Amino acid sequence: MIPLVGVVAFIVAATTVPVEGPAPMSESVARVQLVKLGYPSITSLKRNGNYWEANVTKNGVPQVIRLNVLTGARVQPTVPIRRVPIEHAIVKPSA
Amino acid sequence: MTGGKLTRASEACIPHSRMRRVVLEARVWRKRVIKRMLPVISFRLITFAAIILSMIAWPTQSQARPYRDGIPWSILLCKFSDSPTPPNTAGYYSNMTIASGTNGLDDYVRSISNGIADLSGSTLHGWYTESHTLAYEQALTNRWQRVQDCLDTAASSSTNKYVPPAGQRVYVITSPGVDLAGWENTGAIGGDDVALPEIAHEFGHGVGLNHSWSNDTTWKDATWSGGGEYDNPWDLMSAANVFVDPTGAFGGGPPDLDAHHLDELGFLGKSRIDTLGVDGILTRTVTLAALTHPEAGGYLLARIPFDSADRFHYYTVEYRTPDSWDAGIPASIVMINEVKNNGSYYQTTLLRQLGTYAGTGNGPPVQSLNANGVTISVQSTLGNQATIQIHTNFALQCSQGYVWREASSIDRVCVVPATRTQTASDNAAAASRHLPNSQTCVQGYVWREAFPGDFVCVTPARRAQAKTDDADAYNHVNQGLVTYGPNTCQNGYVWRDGDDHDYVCVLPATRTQVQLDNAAAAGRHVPGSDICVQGYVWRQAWRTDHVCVTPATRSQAASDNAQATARLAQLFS
Repeated sequence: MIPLVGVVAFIVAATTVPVEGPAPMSESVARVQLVKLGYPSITSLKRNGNYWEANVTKNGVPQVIRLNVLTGARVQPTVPIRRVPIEHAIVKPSA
Repeated sequence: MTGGKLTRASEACIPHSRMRRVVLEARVWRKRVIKRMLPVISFRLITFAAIILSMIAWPTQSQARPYRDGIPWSILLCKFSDSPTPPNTAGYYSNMTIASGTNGLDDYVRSISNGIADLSGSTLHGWYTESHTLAYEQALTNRWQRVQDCLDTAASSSTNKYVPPAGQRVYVITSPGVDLAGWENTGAIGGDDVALPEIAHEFGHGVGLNHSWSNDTTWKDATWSGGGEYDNPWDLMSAANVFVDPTGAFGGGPPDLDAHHLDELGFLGKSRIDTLGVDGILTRTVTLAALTHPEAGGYLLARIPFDSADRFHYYTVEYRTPDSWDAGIPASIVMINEVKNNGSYYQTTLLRQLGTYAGTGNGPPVQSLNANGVTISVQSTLGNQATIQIHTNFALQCSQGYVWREASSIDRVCVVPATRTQTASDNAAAASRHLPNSQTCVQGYVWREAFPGDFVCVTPARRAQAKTDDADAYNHVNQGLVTYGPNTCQNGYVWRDGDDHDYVCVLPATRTQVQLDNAAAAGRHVPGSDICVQGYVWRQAWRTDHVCVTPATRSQAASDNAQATARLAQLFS
């Protein structure tokens, strides 16, 4: 026997229609946000799933900034792009 | 059923095609459920149960606009039986939402409402641990059920039992997050990574606001959105496509609401709104104060009606500066919106430049307009103020017994016919009443000043008449055509006008009583205090209303407050 209250709750719940939550931040808004964060020099900005991923340069140092498209929040600490030292670079052997 | 305070969520905020589909799906689902249950329980029993449920679990009406004082929410924190430890303590979310002085939601509401509203009365409860697993909650197709499961857990808690008061809005935060949605005037759900702009956006839905739009209808922000929906980054109701101040607390500071949404909530004082034309003057130079600078002189909102078929169809003009909660916007800017009925509700539509920008969602907001008999142009912006020139061809018809004065081509003040005749006569005699080659009046005459720049020389009595007519202009137009904005009262009701923010609709006799009580206020206080003398009590039409009135008048104020929403001419949402 299915509990009566549960059945009624089920039916009522099925009639509730939610409003969608926040929509994604657009590219132009993401650019403004990066400038406000102090990164006016943006070399590329790409949508990568739930993030805007920006390659920026600050004080001559290239960095990657990720912004959550639904919150606008910076998702990770700024990650400097690793520069591979010349001596450790993989050199493709010549044929 | 336990503490769940179900209301039927509004469908008005999602595109029509999607709304119809969702409603149809819900109906189909409901039919399937009923069909499945028929062998077990008779349809009659279900009907009976539904009636009982509507009596028990359907909430009393939520507090609704115009808003004032505390807007209480219940914030509930829930994790699942197999959830890891949540990333933040309950204290973190309390600071983010209901605490004061933390740069969280309460401070945001207090600030954008110009100090008349906040979240006082709100409470936060949790973390609760639901009996369900994360996978179970993720698999649910009924999104409200995720809210309901948290409500049920709180209501059955042996150590921290909590049932939200009837009709109170609920925000459920789960850890980890399983959904992100809102139900108008009811509640919302988000994850443990919720940021302030997001939760503020859901607050907006919770108090009845819909999304904002732009005129770039070929641009879509999301697959589910309508063309131009979420395309006003200067308005919270376009979140997350909004200019966030990244230095703000709790994930960033959300921008202000646009002026129309503030108006809709009752957050702008009446004296800070200019509605062009209702006073009979069709052209004005208007000073606007930035929304984040109410201390600056000028209007916070200009409404320019133009549609004789719909008095709620008008343009709005506002000024924004990159500071306070608007610190995330790129620069100071005047914004022009069109408020219009989209078939489901009155939406605000940001007017962008289109042309080559069409379809990008990136056109700069227009800084001038010439459409529908309305012209708007920005004259200057300086600091916290902007100066705009506005004109409309839309003149309100006069009520019976009154005619347009027509002191000039832009003068549509309604006066008695005799005054109009006198005005025409004064105009005809104007040249003879000036000193030669000057605007100075000859002795015995003064400028009429019926409108700015009216240098026709008349007798002092005529000038006084013009001043009186200007002051009474609102009362002599056809009231059925007048735009008083989103909080316009139904016929037969008027604003109570206890103060500049008092938009509650009451009978005219009640307003008269309020005016009398306000005038008598000083004599009803014990000298040097706000304590009432014997026989009087605080009116408390709003929280800080300490005007002393009779107990019966206070009861009347409370009763009127409860009827405020029902007496509005038009529910905008």
